[in-house]
Amino acid sequence: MKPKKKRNKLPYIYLIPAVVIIVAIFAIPLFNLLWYSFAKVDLIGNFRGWVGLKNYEYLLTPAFGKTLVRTLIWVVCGIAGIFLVGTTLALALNKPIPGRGFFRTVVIIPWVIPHVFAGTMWSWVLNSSNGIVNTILLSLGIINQPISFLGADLALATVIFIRIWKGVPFLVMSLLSALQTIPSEVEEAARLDGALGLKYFWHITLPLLKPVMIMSGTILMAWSFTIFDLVYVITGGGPLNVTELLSITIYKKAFINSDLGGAAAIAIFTMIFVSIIAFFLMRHNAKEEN
Amino acid sequence: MKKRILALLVCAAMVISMTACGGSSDKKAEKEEGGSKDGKTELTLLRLGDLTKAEPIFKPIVESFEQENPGVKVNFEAMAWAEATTKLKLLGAQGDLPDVTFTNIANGWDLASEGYLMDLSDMLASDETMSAELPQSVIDIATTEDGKMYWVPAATGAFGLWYNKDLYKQAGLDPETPPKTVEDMVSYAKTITEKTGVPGLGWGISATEDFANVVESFYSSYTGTDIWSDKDKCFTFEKDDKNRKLFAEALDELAAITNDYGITQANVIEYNPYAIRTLFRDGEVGMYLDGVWAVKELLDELNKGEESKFNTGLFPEGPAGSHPIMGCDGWAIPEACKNKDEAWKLIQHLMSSDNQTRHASQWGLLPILESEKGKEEFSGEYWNALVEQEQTVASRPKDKNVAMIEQAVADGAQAAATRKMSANEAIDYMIETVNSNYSD
Repeated sequence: MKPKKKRNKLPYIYLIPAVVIIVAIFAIPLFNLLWYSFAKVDLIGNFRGWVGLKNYEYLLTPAFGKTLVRTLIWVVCGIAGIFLVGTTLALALNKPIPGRGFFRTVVIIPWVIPHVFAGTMWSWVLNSSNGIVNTILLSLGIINQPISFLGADLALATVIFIRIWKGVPFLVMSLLSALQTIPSEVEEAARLDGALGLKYFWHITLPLLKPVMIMSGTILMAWSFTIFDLVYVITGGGPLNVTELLSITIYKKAFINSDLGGAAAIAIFTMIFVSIIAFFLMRHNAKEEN
Repeated sequence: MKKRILALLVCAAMVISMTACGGSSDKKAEKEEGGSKDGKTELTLLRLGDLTKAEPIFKPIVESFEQENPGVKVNFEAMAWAEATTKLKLLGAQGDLPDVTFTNIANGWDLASEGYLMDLSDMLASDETMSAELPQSVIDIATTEDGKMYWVPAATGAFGLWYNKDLYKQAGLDPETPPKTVEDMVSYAKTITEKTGVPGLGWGISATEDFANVVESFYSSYTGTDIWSDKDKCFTFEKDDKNRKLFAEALDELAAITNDYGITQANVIEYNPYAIRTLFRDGEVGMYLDGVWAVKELLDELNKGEESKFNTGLFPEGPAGSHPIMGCDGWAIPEACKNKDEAWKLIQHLMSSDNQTRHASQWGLLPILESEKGKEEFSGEYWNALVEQEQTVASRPKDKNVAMIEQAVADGAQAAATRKMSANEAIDYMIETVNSNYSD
């Protein structure tokens, strides 16, 4: 007979504060959201009865399908743009150029501007009658008619552009930190082997930046799915719903239609959707590292 | 020893928390009785809007009420419009709505349907002065089909037509004769555009609440009825083919104004109706649809008196006349109020001619009481049409789902105006959207 091993309770006691915090911050609101999604609940949280899967029926409608596709376009194009611009800027700012400190500070500015203010600012800048962009283009004779940046044809592209502008600083900061960890010996060895320019970037820099890029991409993706105020301030989801993202649909369900249950169902879907994508990205990253 | 210290700490915490609870329960009891420690009846008065704007207007009114009623103390509060939607409902559910609560249409019907507001129709009927002072058209706007009035109208405004007299003159139009019908408005706008090069009509179709209000105004002017039946809980064009046909005509006209006549500023889809004010102020459009809400923003020019280049006309008539919707907010008393009589007295005081004039003129509202209409504050020429319009107004949906209904109207009408949908498809869209989202 094996002697019973005495369990040490101390590690579990040390874990209690962390468990309490996780339950309070994550589990309780999540449970609440899940509960709402199967119920009829009004705007102030009054429970009006169970409705089963009725709140989830909206997820099967063509309107939701369009919103989901639009949101994916917003997320994918936004992240692609952020990576294109952010990587270029990070590589440039990693070089010993004059005024590097100044440029690094300037690049961070969009990051510190609150979404609501950034949205308002851009809607002024791009306004078709008084906006500075149209005024300059008109006065230079480049265009004859003001461009309707926030009209039905260009509104989605415009808000994606603003998303890129807002998201670039985060990536630049992440990549700059990663670039500084690349040992100088690696660079010297690569030079001796004749790996210069794009070749150096492709075979040396990019593989070394990959873990940071995957992690930053995952964070940016999660943020992009949940951004609400930036787009709402600029377009309100219009015109003709061309900029209505999942987050705006959730807001409209909850605060215009007073349907907290319907809003919760979309929020649960979004959370699961984002978690699945994040899981695969992280797993891929872990495999690569191994 | 450690255990003892721990026990002492726990006891101390309990004593502190019990003391704190005691304090709050005293206050709660005071509140439940509706009184204060000095034996006075305490009332809370809430105005939606910015405190810095509201306080200077209401402070003297509150002081004079307290002088006339020495046994009553009034605490004045303001709440931002943006907060109101959730906060008022929460306060209503807790039974904590202020004794006299200013409510707007978007929140008022919600609060009333939950049973948080008392029906004031009998109180109003018993006050002969106030009943005689309020025009019947305004009383109708604030009263449900079964005769209930949950707030006394105090802040009203209806859409009308604002026009630029200078541009009229330049276009060879008579500045004293604004267009009467929708056709006239289009014709005038064409003339202004052709003769001056300035777009004749400022036009915005951004799918917001105020665009929905313009669409509702067109609907009522084409059909002669309100867009929503609070008795049947549906659009008045849903089961009535004649109304539906007329609404389709109205939507086709909106599409023609947007696309065909060449009379509007560029990129109308980016503008909501109120955003045109700046263009109008700067002489960049000849006319636009707006209400009394524009007065404050155009005041510099309007104060020039006869020299002012701005004037107003009635909302353009459709086949059924000129029936723009009226915004109608006002003073309500919650069911949970402990001092309903004193609260009603406060409303009577707020609605007295001088106090209402102070409120209306400083906030930018219509002179709602009959006795206000000849006053100096409302003597400018531009007031004539705005005040006259009050007689023929229509109502926004009197329903707790008003925000959702108006969003459906705005989205559908925008699609029709841009011809992404036909008028009939847009009407079906509005009906289906509302039916699938309507909650009892």
